Amino acid sequence: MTTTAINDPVLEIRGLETHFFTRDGVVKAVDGVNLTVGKGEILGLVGESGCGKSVTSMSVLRLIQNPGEIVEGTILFHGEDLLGLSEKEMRSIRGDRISMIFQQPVGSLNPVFTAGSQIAEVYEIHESLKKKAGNAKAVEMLEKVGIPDPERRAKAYPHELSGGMAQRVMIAMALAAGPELLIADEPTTALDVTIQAQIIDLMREIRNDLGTSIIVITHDLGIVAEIADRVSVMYAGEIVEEAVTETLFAHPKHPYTRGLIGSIPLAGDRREWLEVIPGRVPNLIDLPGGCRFAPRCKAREEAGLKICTEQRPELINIDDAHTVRCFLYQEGAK
Amino acid sequence: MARFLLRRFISSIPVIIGILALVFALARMIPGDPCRAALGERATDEICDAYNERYGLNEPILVQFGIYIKDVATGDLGESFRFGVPVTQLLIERLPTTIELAGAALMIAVIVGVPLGIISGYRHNSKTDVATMIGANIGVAMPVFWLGLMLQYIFAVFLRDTPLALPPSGKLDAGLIPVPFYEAWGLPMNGLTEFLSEFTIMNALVTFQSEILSSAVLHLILPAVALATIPMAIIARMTRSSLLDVLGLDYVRTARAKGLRERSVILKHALRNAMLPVVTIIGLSFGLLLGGAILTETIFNLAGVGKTLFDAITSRDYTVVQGFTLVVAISFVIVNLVVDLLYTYLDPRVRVS
Repeated sequence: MTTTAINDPVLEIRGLETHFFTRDGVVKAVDGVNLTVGKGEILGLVGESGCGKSVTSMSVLRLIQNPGEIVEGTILFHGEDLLGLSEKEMRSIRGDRISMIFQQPVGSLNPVFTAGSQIAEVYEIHESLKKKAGNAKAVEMLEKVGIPDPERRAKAYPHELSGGMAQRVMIAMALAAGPELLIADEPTTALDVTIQAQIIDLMREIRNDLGTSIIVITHDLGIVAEIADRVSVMYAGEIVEEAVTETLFAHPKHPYTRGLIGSIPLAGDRREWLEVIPGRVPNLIDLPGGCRFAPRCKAREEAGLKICTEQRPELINIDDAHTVRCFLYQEGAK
Repeated sequence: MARFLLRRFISSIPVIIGILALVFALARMIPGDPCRAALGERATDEICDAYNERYGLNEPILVQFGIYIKDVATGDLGESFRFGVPVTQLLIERLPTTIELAGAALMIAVIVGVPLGIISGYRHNSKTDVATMIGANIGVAMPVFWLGLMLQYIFAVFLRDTPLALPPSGKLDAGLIPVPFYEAWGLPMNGLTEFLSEFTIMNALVTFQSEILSSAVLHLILPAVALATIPMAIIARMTRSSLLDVLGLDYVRTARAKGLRERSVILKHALRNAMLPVVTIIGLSFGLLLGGAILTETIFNLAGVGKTLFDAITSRDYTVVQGFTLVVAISFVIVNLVVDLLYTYLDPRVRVS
């Protein structure tokens, strides 16, 4: 495999395949994904809706619901394969050593319980604390994530919180047990821009202060540029490019990545047309035979490559810590 | 909270006045003459004139209504044409039977219906789910009187002389006469103590009359089951669909991601939310139970509100029809008030700040 060696990996996903067995056929939502997250590293996982980012993260926590199933691969967490654990062992990892925050912070909190009690629950599950002690620690946690007047907020119900406030509560809940890995699935998508910046700052602080590894899943390259150390770009269930953030933005290789970067509107930059990637994400039931991006790829036509529609490209190393899944960079490809 | 209660209470007054007017009008639209219904076909015109004079039936209809409202406000529901006793006395004797029956039926419906709904919602599309839902659909469609007759046939005829036999009618075995608690405790007999002593099971419980207690419970089983079937089926279906909705929501995913065991995810996080619409349905089923009580009490020969109302309608006993309908309507209003309060307890979003 060609993924770059990461010192002290916290999470290593190898050849993960998560499929959904629907009436219309098998949806290959995740199809052979490799990812590595180092200790204290922030990894950005980027792609369009439906490319398998969220399914990858839910697979890590083994929370894929019927009709979905992890059919192949290993997910090593500190060298231990999570897919080999019993449900009970897995429960003791969820929310304790690996935790997650989601896109809709208000909807992700249970409307009938107070914010504080939902955080306290984490202590009740993982540290066997009594309700009272858990509540006290929940208030501390709320203070840590920058919520003013934490005692009053702890008694508030989710509908009484703003989106940004609710996401801070979610972060407090996720960090309560001091996890080694935080998976943030579109953590800022539902928030106002100014609040987005605050949440991004908060996540960066968490990494710096606590050394927590973070996977940030997003479709927003702007956020990735802000926060991630390394970026993996996902397309139609597979990783198509992976590089250190600066490299990726300075020298994007995969035509899809270049398309994504080209379609970012810049403040103050008035262009008649934003670049768009033509076509649509392929149907994950009926995938194209060769490269999955081939039907939308202009670079392929310009280079006159035939192999793209015939054979599936492998991830290849272009540079140290820069891999891409594209025949354009493979010597001798026709 | 007190203000919310008061506001809800005041808003139900127009409902009750509306019910009064409707019932008053309906009772007088039933074809036939109350005098001849009460005194027989051969009552002469002179006798009927005297009868109408005595009960105010010769006054203009609006005056009759005015008198009725004034009487109700002072707690006087009139006198039964047929029995010659005050309607309140009839209520004291018969309302407890119906409350016991409806209460037992509601308990069965909730205790069986909610868990069935949870199981089939959680094991959605499994064999258990399909079987439960087929059962629920049959339960909803089954007429109460038919089910009552079938239960009587199975448990009192087919299984007679087996340990599973159950009494098919009445409130107690023949010859058993319960001692009212006020007599046992040396309390005076008045409207309230008499009313309370008519709750046969409660009365037997507090005065340790074990023979009466077991007889009363056995007699209650069949009518309560017959009455419970439809609300039970409705509650099971509602719980199932409501739980299914909730299980797909984001906060259930959060609860799982926290490391909660599946049982806590369902019973703590999902169920509390899923119960909100179910509580509303339970309140509304109460109306269904009161309607069903008319049939159930008639079939199982229980002298409750339902049977009395049925008899009163067939004999044009206006005052009884009015009085009992009023009480039924008021209890419906009260039950729904309780549901509203439960709702504010269960769902912080509807709590008034």
